[in-house]
Amino acid sequence: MLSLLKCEAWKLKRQKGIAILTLLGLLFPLLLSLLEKSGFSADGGRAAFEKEFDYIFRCNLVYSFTIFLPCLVGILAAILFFMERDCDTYKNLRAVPLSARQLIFAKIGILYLWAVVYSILTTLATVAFTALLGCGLPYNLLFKFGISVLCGILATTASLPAVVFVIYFNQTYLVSVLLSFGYAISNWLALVIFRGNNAILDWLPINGTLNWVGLVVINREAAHFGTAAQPLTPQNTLHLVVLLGLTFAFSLVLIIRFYKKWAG
Amino acid sequence: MGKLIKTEIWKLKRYSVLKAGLAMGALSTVLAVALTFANDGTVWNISLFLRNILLANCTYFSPIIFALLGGNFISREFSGDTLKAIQTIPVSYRKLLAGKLVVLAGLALLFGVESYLLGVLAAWLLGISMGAGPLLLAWALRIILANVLVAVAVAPIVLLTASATSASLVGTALAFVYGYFGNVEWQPLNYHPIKAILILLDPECGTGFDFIHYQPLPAALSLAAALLITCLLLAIKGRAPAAPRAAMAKNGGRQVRAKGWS
Repeated sequence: MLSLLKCEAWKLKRQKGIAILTLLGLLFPLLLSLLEKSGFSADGGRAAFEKEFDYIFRCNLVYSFTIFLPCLVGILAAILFFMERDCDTYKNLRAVPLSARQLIFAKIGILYLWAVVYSILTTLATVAFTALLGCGLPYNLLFKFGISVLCGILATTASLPAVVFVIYFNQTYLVSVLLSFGYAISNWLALVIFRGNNAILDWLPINGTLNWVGLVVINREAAHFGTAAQPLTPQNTLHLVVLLGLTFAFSLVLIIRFYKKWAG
Repeated sequence: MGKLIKTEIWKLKRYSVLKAGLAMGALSTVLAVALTFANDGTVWNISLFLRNILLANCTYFSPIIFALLGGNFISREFSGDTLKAIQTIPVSYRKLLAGKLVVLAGLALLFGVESYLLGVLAAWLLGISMGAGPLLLAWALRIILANVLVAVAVAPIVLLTASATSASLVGTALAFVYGYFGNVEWQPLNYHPIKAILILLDPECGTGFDFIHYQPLPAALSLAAALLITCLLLAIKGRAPAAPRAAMAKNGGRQVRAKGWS
């Protein structure tokens, strides 16, 4: 499996688009830092600067991870899973011999690896832009990078239904990519419609992830500043594990089924 | 140019783009309908309902659809290897691109009409008060014109990223962020083409924020700039992109030919 992952990563070197897609992760941190800078007042001391950084960091978790990442996962999946079809190399891989299932696991593994790189990049951009523009004071960076990477992995799992759409509508990039964008936007829409109703939101993969990560971040901030926050209970974590476990299992079964159907 | 546009419309019949675009165009109505179920005490009227469709079109759906459709129109000539046949007619690459952009603007208009009609139908079914004829006509013009202007605002991204499928997908992601920025209320976004469309066509844009005062002139200028950039990009795209550089470089700049009988 490690060799397969390495091969898939080598193939990505030919896809310049993926590097640019990853770099798009810089856009939201830049916009958020600029926005914060425009309404920023330098009063309040160190704690105020740290709170500004926390605000930008939390906003970036919402924009870069729960809105933009599912779209990018859909596009990346379209590139990864259609590569063999477009270059007519699937038969060569079968001759190795390599099963469709192994290939799927390798491609999903690449999706997760890419998500880790994206998470580190977008968090690095948040830290860099905040520090450069002087609109906040980055602190507790080990935790921030750790939770970003975890959020990236969880959001990728929550985005696997978009990968199912991509593979099901494998005839054309158009429908696949439109549906993966539709999936990301519909999650955002659910957040608007069911605002405050966590009983529903917690059962939607992306929103459930956002709520859990939000609780972790807010509790950490509360511990740092000595303020009160809604506690993170083991039930919250168990709920997310069950939700994302089910999402992962169902998505994987469907991905394998639809990919095998295409591969014949 | 007329014949080119006609040919491009014929090509549309072969692609599934029209169906996909129409389905995606309906999503703004779905979003507007869904918002009416939000339990936030809003009293709905036709202006508020159609405004949500205008916002959803401009900031969520239309930039993605147009970037993806425009990219697909152009990259298909490369992936289908049909560009060489078109160039022997002869039709210049610039004219071909211009024809495709005109068809894209036509589709934008069509999707605008679809959004508006579906919106009015949904509002009627939901029992939202309809208002007077001139009000409905004004919203029809706003939604349709906004869609065409989004196509203008997205055209530079389409031209910059459409020579390969993966590049056009990057263009789609870029268009998503580009459109999403239109949601943000911030004075410098007066010069952002998508926000400019809302400033010009949405009467409520920027109201409720005492620190924001959008001006219509810079907004119109930013849209004119997007159109100018599109024209400039068309002017410099006189020739189609050449064969892959890596393969040519190995042969001292000559095209690589397959060995054997081919």
